[in-house]
Amino acid sequence: MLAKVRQILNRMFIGSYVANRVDQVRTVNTKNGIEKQAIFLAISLTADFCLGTVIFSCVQQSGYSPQLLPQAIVNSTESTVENLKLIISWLMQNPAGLKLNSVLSRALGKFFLYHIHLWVTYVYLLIPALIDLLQTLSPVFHFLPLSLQLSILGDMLSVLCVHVFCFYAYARRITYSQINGCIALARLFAGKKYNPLRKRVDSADASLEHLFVGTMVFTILLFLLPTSLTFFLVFYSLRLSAMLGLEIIRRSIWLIQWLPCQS
Amino acid sequence: MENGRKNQWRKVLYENGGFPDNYTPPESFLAAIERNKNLRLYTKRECFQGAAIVGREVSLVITFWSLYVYLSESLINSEQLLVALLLVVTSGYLYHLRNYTYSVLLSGLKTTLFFLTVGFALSPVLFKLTDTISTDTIHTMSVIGLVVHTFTQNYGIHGPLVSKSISLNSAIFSTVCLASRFPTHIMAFSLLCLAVFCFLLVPMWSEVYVPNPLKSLLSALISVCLLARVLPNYAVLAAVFLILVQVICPLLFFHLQSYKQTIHGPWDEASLD
Repeated sequence: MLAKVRQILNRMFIGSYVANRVDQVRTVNTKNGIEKQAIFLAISLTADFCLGTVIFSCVQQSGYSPQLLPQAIVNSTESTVENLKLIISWLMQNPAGLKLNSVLSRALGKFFLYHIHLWVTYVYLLIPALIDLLQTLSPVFHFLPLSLQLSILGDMLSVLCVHVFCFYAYARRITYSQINGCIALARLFAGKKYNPLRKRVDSADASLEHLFVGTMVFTILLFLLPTSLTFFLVFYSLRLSAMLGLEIIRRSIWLIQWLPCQS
Repeated sequence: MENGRKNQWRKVLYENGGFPDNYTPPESFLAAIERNKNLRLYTKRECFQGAAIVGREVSLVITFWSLYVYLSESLINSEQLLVALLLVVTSGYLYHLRNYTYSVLLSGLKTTLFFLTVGFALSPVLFKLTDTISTDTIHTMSVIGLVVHTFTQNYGIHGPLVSKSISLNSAIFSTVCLASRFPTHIMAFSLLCLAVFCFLLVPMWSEVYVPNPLKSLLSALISVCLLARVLPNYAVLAAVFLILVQVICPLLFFHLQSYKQTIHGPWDEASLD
């Protein structure tokens, strides 16, 4: 049960931060060289707190205060949504001169735009509650350790980027099933089929109906493949850039929390 | 050597004849040559019949392409095409009613209905499929598909290139490519019906009938006339090609048979015949 809770917590930055610190404290209690471990942990925690305070004051000096945080969240959400809508509308027309199937690209674009619309409605319902929470927590921000501040930042970023991951998942499923269908029907085109028992390709004795329907569906899937492939590539690159930002934050948190004699 | 006489070499390895084991008399190897063993000479009639099958298939492809051009240039209506196909198919069925049993014809009818339903259901998808791709690319792809269909069609001789599924599938592939050039989906559906007729029903019918060179020449003439109405230059090329395939090539084949010269001998690979 604890492993499951641990797994869920690890998905969020704040949860993984808390779990990591708890682990470190627990290791200190059960290890032999207790003095060295405890000293290192104490040094790490103190450095964390100090760095947090120092960097937060520096940031506050240059003009970003926690009161501006809710407004910043709303602004960044809106700008992400607007940019995504721009990208999808660009894909719905001829992007970069590529000859995409007009019907399918419009259908996919409308589907993704509707998903964004639903998500935006949901977020606009959630934003006031979030703003209240942040307002109550804002005096505490000054004294939080640096890794916790970074994990809060990471969590906010991942909440912003969640629909990029969603779109990537949709596009990947569509493209993957299309490619599989194309490969299987291409085998039927050449008169062969896949034998899962022997894990090889055998010759197929297909009736006329099979051949006819198989060829028509193969041609349809083949010509619709560039469109879904374009959508997939665009969302894959977006997801890669989002993952890059999140990975940077995760690595810096790990660096701050690193203890020299890890078990 | 015994009795003052030279031992005759015999091809028997279990008797020691005083010769080494790998000895062959120098004249016995090359003298065992056989020329033109198992030679099959084709009569003129067989040559022309074989060429008639190929000619019939090529004229069928030319007819299909010319009807596509007619449809796309609105020289004929899609409804007219559908009615004509219906008439031909019905008359063919009624003609064959006397030869075949009822169940065979019923299953043929079921298959045709299945194709029609699937084609009608998929034609709205098909006619928008390659909207944005240029016409030249589409024409090139469908021509390649029809050429592959002609190459892999079964002409009565077994070969490594013959494959029933590849020929049928590439013909359907070219039809689907061409079907997207039409503005309405009923025209795409009529082209699909034409393709089902040409590439599914006609081969089934022609498997039964012995190819007649005169009839295939007649069908070649009809297809060239159909093509000449819209593409006269290509009609001339098609006529030349069909005459080459159906008249000149069999005559050439028949004439060149006398030059056949094959050599067989003990150096051939052993075959388990």
